[in-house]
Amino acid sequence: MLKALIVDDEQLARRGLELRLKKYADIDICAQSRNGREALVHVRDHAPDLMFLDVQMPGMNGFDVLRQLSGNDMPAIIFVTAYDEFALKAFDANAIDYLLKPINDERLDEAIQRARRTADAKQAHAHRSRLLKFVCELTGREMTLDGALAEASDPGHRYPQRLAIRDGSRTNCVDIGTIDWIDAAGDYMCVHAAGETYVLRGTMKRLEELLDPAVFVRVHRSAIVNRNRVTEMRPHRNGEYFLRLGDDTELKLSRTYKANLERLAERL
Amino acid sequence: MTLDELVRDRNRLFWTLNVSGWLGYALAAWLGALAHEKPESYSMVILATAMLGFIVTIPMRYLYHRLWTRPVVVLGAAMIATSYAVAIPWRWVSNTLYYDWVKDSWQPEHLMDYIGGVLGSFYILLCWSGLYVGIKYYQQLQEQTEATLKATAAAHQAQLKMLRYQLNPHFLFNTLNAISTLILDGANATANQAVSRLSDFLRYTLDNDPMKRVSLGSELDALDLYLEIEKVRFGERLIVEKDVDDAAMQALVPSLILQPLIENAIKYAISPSEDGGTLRISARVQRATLVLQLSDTGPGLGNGKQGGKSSGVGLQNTRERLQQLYGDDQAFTLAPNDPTGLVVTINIPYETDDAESADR
Repeated sequence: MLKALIVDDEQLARRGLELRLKKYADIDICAQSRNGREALVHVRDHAPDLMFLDVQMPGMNGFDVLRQLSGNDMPAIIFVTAYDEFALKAFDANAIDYLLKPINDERLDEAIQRARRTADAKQAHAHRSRLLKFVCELTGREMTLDGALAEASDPGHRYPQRLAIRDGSRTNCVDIGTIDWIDAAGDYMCVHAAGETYVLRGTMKRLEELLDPAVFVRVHRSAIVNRNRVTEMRPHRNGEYFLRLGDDTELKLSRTYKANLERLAERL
Repeated sequence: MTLDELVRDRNRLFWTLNVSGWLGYALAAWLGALAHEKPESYSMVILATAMLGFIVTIPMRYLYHRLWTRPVVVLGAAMIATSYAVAIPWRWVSNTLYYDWVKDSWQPEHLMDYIGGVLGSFYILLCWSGLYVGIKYYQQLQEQTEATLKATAAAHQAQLKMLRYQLNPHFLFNTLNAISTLILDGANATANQAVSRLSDFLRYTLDNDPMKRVSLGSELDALDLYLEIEKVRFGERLIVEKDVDDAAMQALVPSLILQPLIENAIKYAISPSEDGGTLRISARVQRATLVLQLSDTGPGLGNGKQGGKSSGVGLQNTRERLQQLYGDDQAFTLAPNDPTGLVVTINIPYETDDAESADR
């Protein structure tokens, strides 16, 4: 069974997908969101496997939603758009699934079959990696981890203090201390700091070398957290743990990194 | 043949001017001879000299024609050199005829006597060269100006078409998507209504000549079609209020002048807001001016991420179109709405269908 979330600001567009998805017995529509903000809440509450995401929406558009989603609960994403030349090119280049309005039933069928395959963990990782690469390209210039560090180089410290992340024409200076957590997929990573999400190119391994181990702790194959942000830890099955960061983020600590649990617990 | 046609036909103009020019020269010389009480045989010399002048300047025309694309210095030097070189034999023949016919076959002793007064002939030919080049330059300038004017007019036409036919593909595809849902949902009557409104609106945008003007009444009818379609998509998020004077209904406006502004307002004021907003269209006649006003309750200009640049394009198009159609007789202003939003005001001359012609 695949849990699906429909995100579109137009009622008739949501209804259209709902009607079309009726014939798929293994797809259950868990919720419908009218805008990006609602979508983020619904993703957290329902943990859907699949999300139909409209690109053009009031407030937060489809791409903004994608940026804000964290690695653990990122569903398979099928973009839905009426007409957007640039986005279509980018979708094609990154092999990201998209549907054009009005929705063609055969294309929908293909997209759903692909989404079923994405349910497999390895595929999901690749899908997410593609999405992050795509988000990275959307911001214009691809930014590498080392590049972001080099631009804000700060001699005199053992570990870097800031990241300079270019986003289009402006550069954001991110204090390392304000980073809540970082998650990665393939060669890309999302840096979550003070409510913003920045996408960089770089590997987890390199990141671990660069960050102060007294502050940043690896909790998962694809996640590093700022231990000062962890507010709650509760055991899950198979020696896994759920970590709570602030009010609305929950990360999983995998068995492989159980040894790091003590370092997190020190602070609590 | 009119003067205009004559000026256009370069060849004919040359021959006409060359013949009349030399006739004028002969006439002036003859009148001069009359005043100086020269013998009658002298007029024969004048006539022959003028005819010779006419003949010798013909090859000069072809020479200048060939040198036309060369630098001005080369052309100028050629004019002086040619004028002098041609003046010598011309004067020679003219003097010989003078000595034969007027001086009773007098034989001058010096060779120089044969080219006496060559400087005068040189000046005449230089004058001729100057006139030739001047007229040719003038013609060329005229042609260029005409070509530029034509190109500009064509560009304006094309631009007007482009400015008007910029039907947003988003609008079209989202509407088709909505209609497809209505069909899937079995709401056939609503779907059918939406299809006929969409086709009526498309027809209106395609059929109208961008240079023609229509009455505000029919413009608002087309706008209603568009707004009804948008209401199917946006539901309760889109509220439209209208306030139009009876006199304003008769006013002539450029076709589809309001639609891009409405589309803009929906894009920036209604669509980005989760709760939607209100559009208000008003039109009234103030003395001889039609005042069209469109206000929204969106974020206004300069506020919010999307303002500024991209919204500027839609407004800029309307501004340019009004400028092209009315020149300085119009005004297009943007002002903040109270409490939030944007008010677009268009002032154009109030004209109705019975006043002279519909197109400008």
